[in-house]
Order: sequence, then C-alpha cells, then structure tokens
Amino acid sequence: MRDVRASFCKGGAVSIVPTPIIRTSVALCLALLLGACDSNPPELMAATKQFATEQEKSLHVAEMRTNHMHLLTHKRDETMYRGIRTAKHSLNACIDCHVPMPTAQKVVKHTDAEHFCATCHIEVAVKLDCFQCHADRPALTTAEVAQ
Amino acid sequence: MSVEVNKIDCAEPNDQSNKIDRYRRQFLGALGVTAAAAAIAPGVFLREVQAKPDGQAITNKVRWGMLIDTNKLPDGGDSMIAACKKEHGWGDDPHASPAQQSQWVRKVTFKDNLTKHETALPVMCQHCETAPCVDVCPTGASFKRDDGIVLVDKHICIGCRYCMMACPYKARSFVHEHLENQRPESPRGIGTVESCTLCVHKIDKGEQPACIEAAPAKAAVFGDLNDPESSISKALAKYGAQQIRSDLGLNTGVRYWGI
Repeated sequence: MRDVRASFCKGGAVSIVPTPIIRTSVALCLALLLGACDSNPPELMAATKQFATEQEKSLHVAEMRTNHMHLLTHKRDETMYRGIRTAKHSLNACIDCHVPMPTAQKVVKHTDAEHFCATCHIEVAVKLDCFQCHADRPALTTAEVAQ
Repeated sequence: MSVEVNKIDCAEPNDQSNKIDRYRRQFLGALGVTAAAAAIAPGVFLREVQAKPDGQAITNKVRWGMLIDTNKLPDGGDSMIAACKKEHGWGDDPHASPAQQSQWVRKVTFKDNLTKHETALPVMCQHCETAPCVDVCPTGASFKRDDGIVLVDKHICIGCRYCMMACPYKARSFVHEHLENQRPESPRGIGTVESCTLCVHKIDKGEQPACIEAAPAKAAVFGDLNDPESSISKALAKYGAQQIRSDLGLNTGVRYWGI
C-alpha cells in the first residue's frame, strides 16, 4: 500500500500528498531560506580610525553588534539628565568615526544605503529614529562651510 | 578648560566719596549707564565658569543664570539672537510659515508712553526655579536639571504642547516638519517641543552660552547664581535686577537691567 498522509482541511476536504514529496519540498525550502539568510551582516563602510590590534577590533565589533542600542540609550540618559558627556558611547563620537566626512562630491545621509547605520538597519528592516533629530554625519568645520 | 569672564567692577566707592557721590554712583549703576563701567580695569579677568570633568555629573550646588543689561544692547539683542540661530540652527525650517518658525529667543520691544523711551530686550527661556512647563508636562520630558537649566528631553516628548501653553514667556516652539542638517550638538526634530537650552553642551564643557559670547561688551553676564563670589551674584547683590513677570514668583534664572 502506498505511504500516504491525510490531513483534514477546514472545509472538511481531504488532501492526500505522498510523504517523499513533502520531505523534498521542505528540504528545498529550508535550503533556499538558509541560502538567503546569510548569518554574516552586510559589508560595512570602514571606520575612519582603526584599532591597533585585530583583537581590540573584534571585541569592539562583538560588543557593538549585541549592545549598541543599550549603550546608546544608557548614554543618552546620562547626558540628558546628568550632563555626562564622555566620548565613549556618545552618538556624535560614533558618527564622527563611522560616517565619512561630507565632501563637495559626496554627502552620506542616513537615508543612503551605504550610511554605516543604515546598511544593517535596512538589511534587518529595523526603523531608525535617531536621525530625525540627531545629525547623521560629522559636522563641517567652519573652514569647510566657508568653502 | 575654563572661560575667562570680564570682571564687573563691584568695588565700593572709596572713603573719600561723600554720600551724594555714592548715591549717584549706585543710581547710575542701577540704570545700567554704570559709572562703574568707567572704573573697570582693562585686562582684569575672573576665571569663573569652571569646566567639570567630562565624566562627572552636574550638581545642584550650581545654579546657572544670566544677567542682561538692555541699556547696553543698541541692537536690542539682535546679535545675541543671530548667534543663537547659528549655534542651534533654528528659524529657517523650509516648510514652516513665519508663524510656525521656531523661536528660541524673541526680541520684545516696549515703549514708555510718558517718556517715549523704547526698550528692546531678548526674551528666551527664563530657566525658572519653579517652571510651569515642568509642572504640566504629562510625560516628564520637560524637566529641570540639577544646575537649574530647564530642558526638553525630546526622547520622551510626545509633542502635546502643554508646556507651550503654560509658559508665560512664550519661550517654547514646536517643530512641525522633518528636518535635515541639524547641528551635532543641538538635535532638533519633528513632533517635539524645543526652547533655549542655555547652550547646555557648551556649559558642560566650561564654555559660555553662544548669546553671551556674541553680546556687546559687558551687556550680558553669565554665571553661577549660587556662588556669592561670582560676578553675576555680585552685580545682582549690588544693583539688583528685574525678572519679567516677577509677580508670578517663578524665580527666573535670567534677569534684566533697564526694563
């Protein structure tokens, strides 16, 4: 007798599909999904300053991938209410290093896919509200503005 | 880093002065014409606004305040307003109508009907000790820092604008549109209320507010109201100064001479 699996649909109709076909299609779907869901994040724009050692860099990357949102929220309240303005975990300091300085030819805004924050946030479809108020790129120095 | 503040001469008249001289001197001083101005020794500076270390929290031992002498503002504070706009980037929101434009400092002019004397003064957030905007805020976004600076925490501001209604000085504005190119030190954004921050980012670094730096010489003094030795406290103790709407008893941090 043929190996069949019957499942009852809402309407009471019976559908009969042979198991090997289910197995194959599930495997195919999984393979496709895994292929699309690369666990590596997209290629990011290199920061202006680089760490001296590879170890420092990987520690920074690992911490920030997991915790950047918590650190930013924490720092935000420290600065807002207690006036603590250290460069560490300051949003402006992040931006100064990770987003290129605007030039006459190119200004990278947070709406551009290549903006450091946008690259991942677009990939994972998480809305980013910071830049409704905060500057999304380093400030021009007075000399540059004059040019 | 610290900033040097011009010393306001607060020395008592010397013993040789007779009573009339002393009275005249105080009277002129109170008017802001200041006989004292002539007595200011050039090059005498007080190190006053001390920079706190970056990692150190503010304390309530300090209360920042500002004293503005309207008689020494020939432009009625236009230079101060321009400096504020440049520092914080308000006033040129592309889609806002003139009535909607943010106004962190406004120039108020009034005329004495008897003497026809016109006075203009810059009016910004007065950084009240008992701020009505803080009282009414439903989310706690409007708050007073330990050092007396009244701020809006835009992270939790929902844009209800109760504070704008409550403020007797019309010091607050609302941002109606999406903004771009904000200053890194002064975030501004759609759906939030904003007002003078007393340049809190500069004060935390030990600098003075932008308007004070831009004001004509000796027209504005910034300092610690809690420190009896600060030049602002000495000047206030000696000459006194007005609060706008002092009848409300808000104990403002911004005081004026000549109004």
